[in-house]
Amino acid sequence: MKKTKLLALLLLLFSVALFTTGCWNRKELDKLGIVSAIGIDKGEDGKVKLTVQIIKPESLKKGGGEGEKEKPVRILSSTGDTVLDAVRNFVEKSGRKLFHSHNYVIVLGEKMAREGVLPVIDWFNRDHEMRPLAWVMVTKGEASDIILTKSELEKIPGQQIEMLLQNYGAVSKAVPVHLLEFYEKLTSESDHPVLGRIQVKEQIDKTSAFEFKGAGFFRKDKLIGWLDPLETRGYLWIWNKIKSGIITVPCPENENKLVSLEIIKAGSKIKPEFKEGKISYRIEVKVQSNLGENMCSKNLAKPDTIATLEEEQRKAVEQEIKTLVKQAQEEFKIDILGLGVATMRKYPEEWKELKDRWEEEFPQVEVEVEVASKISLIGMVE
Amino acid sequence: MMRIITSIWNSLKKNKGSKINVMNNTGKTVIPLTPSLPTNLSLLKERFQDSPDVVFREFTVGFEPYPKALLVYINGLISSDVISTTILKPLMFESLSEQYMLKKFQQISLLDFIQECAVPNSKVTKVNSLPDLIDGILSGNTAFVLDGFPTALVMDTKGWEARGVDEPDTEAVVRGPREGFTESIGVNTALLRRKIKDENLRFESLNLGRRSKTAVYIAYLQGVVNEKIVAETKSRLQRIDIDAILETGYIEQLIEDAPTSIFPTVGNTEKPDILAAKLLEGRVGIFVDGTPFVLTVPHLLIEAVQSPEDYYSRPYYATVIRLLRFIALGLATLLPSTYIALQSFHPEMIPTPLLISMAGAREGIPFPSYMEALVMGVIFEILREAGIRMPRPIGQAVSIVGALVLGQAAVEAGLISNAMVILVALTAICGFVVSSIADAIALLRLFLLLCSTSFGFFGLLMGLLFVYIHLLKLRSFGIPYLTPIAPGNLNDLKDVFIRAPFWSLLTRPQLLGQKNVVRQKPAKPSPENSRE
Repeated sequence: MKKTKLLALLLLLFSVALFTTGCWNRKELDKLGIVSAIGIDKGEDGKVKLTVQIIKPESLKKGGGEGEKEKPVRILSSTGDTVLDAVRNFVEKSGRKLFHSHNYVIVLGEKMAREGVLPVIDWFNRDHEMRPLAWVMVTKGEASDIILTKSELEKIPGQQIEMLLQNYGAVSKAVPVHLLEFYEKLTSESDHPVLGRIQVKEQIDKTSAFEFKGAGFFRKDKLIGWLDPLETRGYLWIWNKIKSGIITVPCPENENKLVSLEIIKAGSKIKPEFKEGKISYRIEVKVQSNLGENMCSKNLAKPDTIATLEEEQRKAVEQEIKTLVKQAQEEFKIDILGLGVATMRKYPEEWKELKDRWEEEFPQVEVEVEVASKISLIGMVE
Repeated sequence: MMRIITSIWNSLKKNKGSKINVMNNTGKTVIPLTPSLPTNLSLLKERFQDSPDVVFREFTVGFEPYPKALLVYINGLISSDVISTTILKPLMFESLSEQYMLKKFQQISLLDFIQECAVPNSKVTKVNSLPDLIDGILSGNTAFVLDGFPTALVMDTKGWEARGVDEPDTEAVVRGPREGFTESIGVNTALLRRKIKDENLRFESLNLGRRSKTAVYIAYLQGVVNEKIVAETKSRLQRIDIDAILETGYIEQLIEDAPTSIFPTVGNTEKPDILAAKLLEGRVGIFVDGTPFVLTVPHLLIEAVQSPEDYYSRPYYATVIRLLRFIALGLATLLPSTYIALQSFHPEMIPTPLLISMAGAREGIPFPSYMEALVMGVIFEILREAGIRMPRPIGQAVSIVGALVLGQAAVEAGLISNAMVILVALTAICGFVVSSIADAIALLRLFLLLCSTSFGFFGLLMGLLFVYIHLLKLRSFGIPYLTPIAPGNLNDLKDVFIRAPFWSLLTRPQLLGQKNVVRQKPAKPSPENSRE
């Protein structure tokens, strides 16, 4: 008898839950504004200006003739005193509550970045909807221009940008950074963040397209300068983020002709060493590549030619790394190389004492670069 | 004696108008027959109340001392050929040598003489009481009443129209025997005997149903079966007190372990080969006259995903199919509830491209998605029911209405999202794969759908835990329902998620057949074995 009563009660509870409209936390997909990209700019009067791309699922339905012409995304912008304020203000315009869990793209405008991103990035880490694995990037100019740009290959521009970042490895000339990693570097005591740079360029067919190339580097949360693509690769070498890419070296017999080497494997290590109270670093890089293309006619299949090419490759990589090290030490005078991190890991005791004067110390430390270069395959022809 | 007869007569008269007839022949009072033929005749006529299908045939026996005799039988239940050749013809025309008869009469009575020497019928039994006589007549035998004897003979003349051995519509196989049980219990037991020619195959008979007096046989393999299960089955059957048993379903519902559970704890089959296999594993079969379905106990959850063809085809593909059935079982129970939980509560868990197409499909749908799922689920169940119940010629109309109007048109009109149609169709197909527990799954699906609609994955998980605990608690004739998964038995698991080859299935399921556990000797086939 008790059981029947309990069962009836349970049934009643379920049916009540089912037919009351305010089901806790339940939201239908068609009531959500799925955000595919968000841009953060500095607004007027110190306000925050957000620009979002909201996916219009209707337009992506297969077969709808009109759907083809319709724009796949709706772009809205909103300002507010804080990021959360601005985010909520979107509802005034969209009606739907924005849904950020599928947003992989966060673009920072230059102006905002130069003033400091710490105040605006907090919400992105604090809110449960944002993905820690969303990509953060910086643009020269307004972030809203990036969000406004249409894409051709992928229907949704946000997804186009995400593709660019995912496949950075084929070129390895830009830095893809996750929100989580960015935040870690922002709050780290020894490290400074470097973000990939996204631009819009007009293409040959008069449409504009995204270009993910180069990087911007920060002193703590403030953007202070840009790295060109080759310097960026130097950065990637040091941080062990090279996936693939092409290194061009001069042909062994003809200086004007080139040979392309395709990186297939790369690794690096930073080894700090204390000698007589002075710290010095050795950056050890290993690179293995395949011969991808030869512009001159020389037979490259001979061991001694290969050895010459390996030496050329070694020089090229060393050059890329040394340029960045030199610039970081002499020009920017901030440690974006991760030397501080390496010291902290190997000499935690010494680092405690060193970290306070690291800013002054860094430009003077000795950095040695050592590259082990190898070419394994030479392709289908001799 | 007359007092008893008149009291019966009065009670019958009294009850004529009332709705409930008191059954006096189940009691212990035995109403004997009288030596006078006319009295017996009128007794019988009173009992049958001039029913038109009851035939009273009076005749005179064709030898000394030419006594009057009476045959009583029910038209349609008997074969008139058998009556005329084995009863009437020999008694009326056969001339037996007088010498022989005289010699016999000195030793035995006329009735005994007729039983022993005169009627070439296969089964003749003596009956002293009226109720026994009537029972005999009602089960298709012919009563032979001789003037001057208070004893009658019941002769076997059963012969009614019956369906032949046919391929059953349920439990279809591609490879394997096609024969199925019929409505006649004699044919069914014979079909089983032909599969297992072992004198240890035991049948025990009892009659159930106060009015229907249905013949029920318990079948088991002595030496393999767990005696406790046989005893338990018998005691549960004897406890049944119902007016009629029309199908095994009646018995199933009266002897099952958990009458309030949605899971069946008694199995049924329509095929002799399946029954034979189950008896060989140590199960008990329950035959019921009048239905081709035979019950098997104990029944475990795992039997829902086992099919006879798993054993008739080679083990490798059978294993893959077995796993597919598990997947189908999971999909059929969980698909709608998971879908609702994902898209209404946790859209962040769906891969982005899928989310976009799902959101696109939902755009403009007026109902919340759980309503869609519920409505489509209900519509599917109605369609299925209509498919079973409707007369065959209307079938096409229903499928057109179902597929075109309810499926395509509803999607095109924007009432239902096509994702939901796909989902419901997939769920339905998966449900058919494990058709023996399809009804339990349909209820379970609804329950879990409500859970996930109310509380998302949290609710779904709680619902699943509830079901899981219930399954762990469930027993069928003393055997835990989830055997051999929980309680686990490594050896028996050879025939659960995989179907191991026969040469490695050396033992019977442990909990069922605790005696005579070894099924066969190690017999991995190899050319070396045959060389000797």
